Amino acid sequence: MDYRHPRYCWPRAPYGYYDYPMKKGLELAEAYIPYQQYTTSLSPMEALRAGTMFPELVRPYEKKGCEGGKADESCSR
Amino acid sequence: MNHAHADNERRELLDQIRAIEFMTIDLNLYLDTHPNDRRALNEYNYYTRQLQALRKEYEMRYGPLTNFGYSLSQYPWAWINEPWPWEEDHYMEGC
Repeated sequence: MDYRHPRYCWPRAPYGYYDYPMKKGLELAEAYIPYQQYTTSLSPMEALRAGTMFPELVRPYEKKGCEGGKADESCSR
Repeated sequence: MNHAHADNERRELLDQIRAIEFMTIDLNLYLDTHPNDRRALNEYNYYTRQLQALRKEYEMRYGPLTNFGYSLSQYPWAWINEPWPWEEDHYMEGC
């Protein structure tokens, strides 16, 4: 019994969403990751602080004016 | 060498160990998906040797860094009087 086969693991629509177009055999989201190529590295101490040795992966969360989740111009980047 | 200076040296060595260990971790994760990247592998080995030397130096001067068979201890058993990580300010200032 291959439970991964869409026929068996038909995604359950959350309660109250039964009219939601959840067709049988709907593939769930598939992520992709572009292939990383190691070129440059931060120094050990910098890497420890940044949380990665790869400059291209340094993405600190900057505080933005998005209180209440309402997107305004200051949120878009 | 007064106490403060000695303790400072110990913490500096510990910070170095953390930074070098972090490099081995990140390179290890990268190599898991890029096993043929020769440069990354060379760097992993380089940092691993450096880490082993730093750890050896630390343990010779200050006692075991890890336990459960990963570090030797002089007499008497030194593991218990190591400062536990949460017992001292282990945060790197200004980071």
